Amino acid sequence: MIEGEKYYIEKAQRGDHEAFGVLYDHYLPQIYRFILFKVGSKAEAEDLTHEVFLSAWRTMPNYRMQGHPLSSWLYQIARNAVIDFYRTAKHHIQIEMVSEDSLQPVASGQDSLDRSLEMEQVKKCIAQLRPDYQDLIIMRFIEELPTAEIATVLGKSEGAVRLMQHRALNDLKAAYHTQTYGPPFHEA
Amino acid sequence: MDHLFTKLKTIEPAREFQARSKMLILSEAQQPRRFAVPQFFSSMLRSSVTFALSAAMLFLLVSGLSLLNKQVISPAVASALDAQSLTREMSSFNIQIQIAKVKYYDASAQQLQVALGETSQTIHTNALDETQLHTSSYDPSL
Repeated sequence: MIEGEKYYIEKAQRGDHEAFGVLYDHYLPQIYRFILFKVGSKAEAEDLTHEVFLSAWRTMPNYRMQGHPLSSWLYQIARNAVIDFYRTAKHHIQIEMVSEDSLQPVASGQDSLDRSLEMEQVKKCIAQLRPDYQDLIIMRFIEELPTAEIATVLGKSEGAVRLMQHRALNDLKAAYHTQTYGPPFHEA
Repeated sequence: MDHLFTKLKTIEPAREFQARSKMLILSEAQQPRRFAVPQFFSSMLRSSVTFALSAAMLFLLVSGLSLLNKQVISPAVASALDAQSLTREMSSFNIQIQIAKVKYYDASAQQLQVALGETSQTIHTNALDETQLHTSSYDPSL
């Protein structure tokens, strides 16, 4: 959450470009990452991210602040955009298909090969999870959003989110273990 | 796994995309603001409506129950609880008792009179019979 977010929101609601620009610059990376992990393609992620912020700008005058950060609202728009994307588009690109290039951080430096391999492994594991678990893992562990905010985005209680979080993490650990050491050995 | 999550957080959108997208977005017009009642008035209106609805519900509940009790559930019970009707019932009950008493005494007096009459008649007849018997058994002419 940006310091003085309410001030920027109120100004953006009155059509102030600069205020919306501040909000855009702050929230763009995390919304972009969320969408990228969901759709798997850099181009699609950029298009959807653009749509999300365009929708936010257009409907900003009617946005009602309810004590949650603006990101809750943006994540809700993003989730709906991704759902619409999979509903209307025929192509279902899996997250495994995300190119290495799209996962390269802008400020890439040393250890790029190791990082790429590890990130490749993690994104594959995340891709094996249920869509709602994917959302949860991205928001909770990558973006480090508080549980209350995730609950708002997912439309669930905080207790339900904590329970989901536990299950999602267990599934992710199992997937990571399988990915690293192969499937568990079962004696006949 | 935490360090991997941290690394994933370093993924950022391309700067060219960021600049182009922002410019395109801000060139679009915003939707007009819908008329909204100010927060204070809306909350006041909400609480007033809640209070009015609660009062109406309470009134309907009480009057409904009363009507139900009087007309549907048990008219006898409802009338029995009315103080005036109870007094009326009580006074009429006393009168009925008194009338019944009078009737009883009247009937019993008549019955007693009849019984006494019958008894005295029987005694008189028996006395006459005995006199006649004595007279016939000591007849000096026999």
